[in-house]
Amino acid sequence: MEADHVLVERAKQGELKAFSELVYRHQKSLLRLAYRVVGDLETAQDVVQESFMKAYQKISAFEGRSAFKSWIFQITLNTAKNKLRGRRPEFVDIEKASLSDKTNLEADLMSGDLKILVQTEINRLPDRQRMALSLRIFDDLSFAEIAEVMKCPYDTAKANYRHALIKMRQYLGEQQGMQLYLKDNQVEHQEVDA
Amino acid sequence: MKKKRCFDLKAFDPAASIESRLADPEFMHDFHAQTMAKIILTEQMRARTQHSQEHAISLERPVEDQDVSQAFGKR
Repeated sequence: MEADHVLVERAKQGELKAFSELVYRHQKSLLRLAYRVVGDLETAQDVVQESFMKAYQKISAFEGRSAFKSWIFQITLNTAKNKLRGRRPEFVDIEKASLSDKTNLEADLMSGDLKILVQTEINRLPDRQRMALSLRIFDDLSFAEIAEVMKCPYDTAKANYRHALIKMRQYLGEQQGMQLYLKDNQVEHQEVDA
Repeated sequence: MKKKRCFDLKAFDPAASIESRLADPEFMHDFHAQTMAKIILTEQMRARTQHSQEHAISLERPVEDQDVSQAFGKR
């Protein structure tokens, strides 16, 4: 399998097949990314297609200082945010999302109510914290990649993610006395002997 | 040592609701084909617009030259 940067170089030479491979390779993760921002699949499809069209038009200007993946993520995120502008924000009715008294967290998780509450809380995070959290947890991006997508220094990307986690932990701790499993973050991990 | 995994935020991914669609090869194949068709169409339109603009410029030039010659009384 050819690396992205090889395909990018071939696409720059006008090889449409190489760009087609890049589309095939990244379309799923971009659809997820766009869907998380716009909230419906049809709009997410438009966003991703528009993003690939923009990328194809600008491919000769892409210098490769960042990975193609970071670049296309950045384009998609901006396109999705632009689509949202002028659209009325949809709010989840907090009154309808009541927490049950059950102590079984898994059962709560399955019920959907908790899901709505947690997603509402994620949506209430400041923009850049939410973005960092989403890119790290849901898209499995490294902090270096998040920094490229968000056009910010590495430490800022990490700080945004950590602040988001602290807020989420605080909220979840208040609500359920739960602890967050913090992915790939040794400082935040709680480790116990097996 | 074992990581204590009490609660995983990944379980709250809003995009989880579209996973079944994304797992459908036909859906993804169609989406890919549509994307590439849009790219090709846009490129063709761009090339056509560029060509017609260049053609218009090349038609304008002799007229300008002629006008300038007439203005200075040259034949």
